[in-house]
Amino acid sequence: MLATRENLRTGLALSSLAAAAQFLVVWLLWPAIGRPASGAAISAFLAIVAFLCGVNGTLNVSRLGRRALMLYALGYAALFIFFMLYLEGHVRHALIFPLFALFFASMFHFGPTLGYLAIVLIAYFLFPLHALPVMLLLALYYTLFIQVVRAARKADNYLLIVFFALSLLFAAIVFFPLLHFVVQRTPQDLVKTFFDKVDGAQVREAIGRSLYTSTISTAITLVLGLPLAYVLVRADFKGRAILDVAIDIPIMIPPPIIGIAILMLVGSSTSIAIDIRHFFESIGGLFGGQSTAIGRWFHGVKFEGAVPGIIFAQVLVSSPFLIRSAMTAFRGVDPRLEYVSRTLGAGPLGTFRRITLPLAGRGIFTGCILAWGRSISEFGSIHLIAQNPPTGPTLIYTLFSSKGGTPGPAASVAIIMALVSLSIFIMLHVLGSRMIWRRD
Amino acid sequence: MLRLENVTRSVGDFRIAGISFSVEPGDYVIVLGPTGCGKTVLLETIAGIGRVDEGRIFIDGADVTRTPPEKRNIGFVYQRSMLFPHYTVAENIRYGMHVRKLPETEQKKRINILAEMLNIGRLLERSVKNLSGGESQKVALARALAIEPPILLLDEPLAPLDPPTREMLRREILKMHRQLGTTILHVEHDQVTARVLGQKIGIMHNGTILQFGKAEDVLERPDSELVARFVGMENVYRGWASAAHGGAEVKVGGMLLKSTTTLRGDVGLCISPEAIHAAAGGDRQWANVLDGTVREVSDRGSVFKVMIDVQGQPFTVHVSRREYESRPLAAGVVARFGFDAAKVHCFKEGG
Repeated sequence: MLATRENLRTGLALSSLAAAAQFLVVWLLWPAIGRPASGAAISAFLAIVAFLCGVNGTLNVSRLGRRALMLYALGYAALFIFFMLYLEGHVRHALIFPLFALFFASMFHFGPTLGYLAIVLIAYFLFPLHALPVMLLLALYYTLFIQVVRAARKADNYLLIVFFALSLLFAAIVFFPLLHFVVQRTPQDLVKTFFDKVDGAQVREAIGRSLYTSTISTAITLVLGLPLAYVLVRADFKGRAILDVAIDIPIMIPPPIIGIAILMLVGSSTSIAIDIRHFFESIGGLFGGQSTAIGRWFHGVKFEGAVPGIIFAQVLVSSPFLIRSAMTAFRGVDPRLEYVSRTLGAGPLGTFRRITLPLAGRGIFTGCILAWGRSISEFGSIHLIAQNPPTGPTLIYTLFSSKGGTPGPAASVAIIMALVSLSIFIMLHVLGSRMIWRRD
Repeated sequence: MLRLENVTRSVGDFRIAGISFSVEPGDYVIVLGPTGCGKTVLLETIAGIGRVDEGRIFIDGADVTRTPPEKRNIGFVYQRSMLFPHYTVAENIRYGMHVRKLPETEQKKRINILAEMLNIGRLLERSVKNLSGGESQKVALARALAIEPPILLLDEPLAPLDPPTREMLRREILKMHRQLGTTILHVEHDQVTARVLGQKIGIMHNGTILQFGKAEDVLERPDSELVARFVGMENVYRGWASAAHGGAEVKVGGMLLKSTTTLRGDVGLCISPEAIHAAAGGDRQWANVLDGTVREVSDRGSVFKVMIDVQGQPFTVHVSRREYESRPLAAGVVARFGFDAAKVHCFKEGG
């Protein structure tokens, strides 16, 4: 039994108060009484240490009793005064203090807060140049780790703990570069890049183009891929296994190859491209040819260096993700539900619409999110097909290479692009998990 | 009403072959068979889920062999109710009527009638996800009945239920059958249910129907060893029948049993465990009297199952609880048992 809710609230309040007080002491009072100033950064760091030590104590008040807690607080104060006053508040000493605070706190053998304290110290001492992202990553990981340990104890399976501990390396490889990258520019920088009078428009257009082409390509993949997924799940036929494997081929082919393949098929000078252009022009002719807006729209259709080419590439690379998810979703719908629907008088299409589709809906939606994400991240093939008009990734590459291969302004655009697509990605996921699939 | 002619179909490893029988209007037909004998495939085939390889199916005289399920107007209830999880109870029941575009008032009327009959009125607005097994089955029944099908197919609707619920639903189904007069074809592996509900019984084994007829005919007078075993005749033997004064005598091992059979020569025979009575001290004269050593006694609730041994031939006897309590039989005791000649049912051997 740890802290009650009420204890926790008072504890948090007291700890914040103490931390704030200490911050003021170190930052303002110290110089006032003639000690060397420590600066806001170190003061804030020490305040975090104080806060964590405080929480560490108050979380355990019900187990320890008030007297022990008082002792703990006094001990912390004594330690603080000893290091900060006796050792003359030198900066190096100020940083040694938390180390002792950690040992002191560990003597009281308190729960998870100790871990956070350790993380703060590790981040500041071992990775002084990347303290913030390291601290973020470790703190997130540690929070999850506590939960995993709890679940593993419940399941009585220590292997879960070992496996999750191994995954720290995975987290470091996959998420650290991104976490580190996102904090490289201040919000002011990003706002300036995005709304800049001269270059901002180009950035906004490119990111907008990325968003709408991915949406269109996802819609196309949905219309074309969903029926195929259903056939692969429900029909048992010779050659099914081959088709099943073939679906994944776009994942394995390097994007530049896909780009070249598309160019060789519908690049400006190929015969197919010319046929397609004629086809669209004749449709445009039905709407009055060059003299009307619709007619003109049909007139200009081409793939190389144009939006249709971008969408073509996106559909090609993202289709496996949608089809796979849809197949899993369809497989989860018991065929007997469809049979019952049929006996009740609904035909195959009515059954698909009323029963199969709503029940597979969530899985299909997840597939759409994946396909959308894959489309928006596609660069390799689009770079070959259409450097202009630019999408987010192609613009970033152009900025990057124009500065002789240094991140420079590309980094700001890249961070904006990452944040925009990430937030839409998360938003869609939340939306998907909340969505209730009902029809009629 | 429903007629099957030589229906044959294979689905994966399952195969049903040469199935022919007919069901009259208002019948309650049970197809009894062990798990994996093709009962579900048979029902699905009748409902139109999957095509037959051979044979024909008629409903009301019309050939429906190639008719898709949505045009057959057959009610179908799966073993695990298969309710649509994204709909409420009422929406599930409404489904078939909604698809048929029945007027709203008619839909409401039927839902109310069915809900009252099956006692599920208070569930109507609930999600189907938190229903108990018995409730789910009743909703599935209501959903199938809402389209007013002339014939209802039930696939072991009682199997997933616990015994008290099973008993309750059995009564509800019987009540529903009497009230609506719907023709029912019900496949089942449980003998008790078959005895309680079936007016006609078909015995299914390995994808074929072994015997089909009136319930009492099939249950009391099985025509083969397999059927005898399925319907719970535990005393199944082979013997040699010959004429004797006033009937027949069947030689089984070293015993001579009196029987009323008209068969002669090599026969199979069976005696229901209920037909054998612990006879010692009884006032009745039994045609057949045996002295047997009790081997094993097990308590089966309302009866005690007593295994006895008569001249090396094992017999199973069901002794009623009352009878048993007045005169307990322990292993090793030699006791006398008796049964009528009419209870020694013979059938052609090798049939």
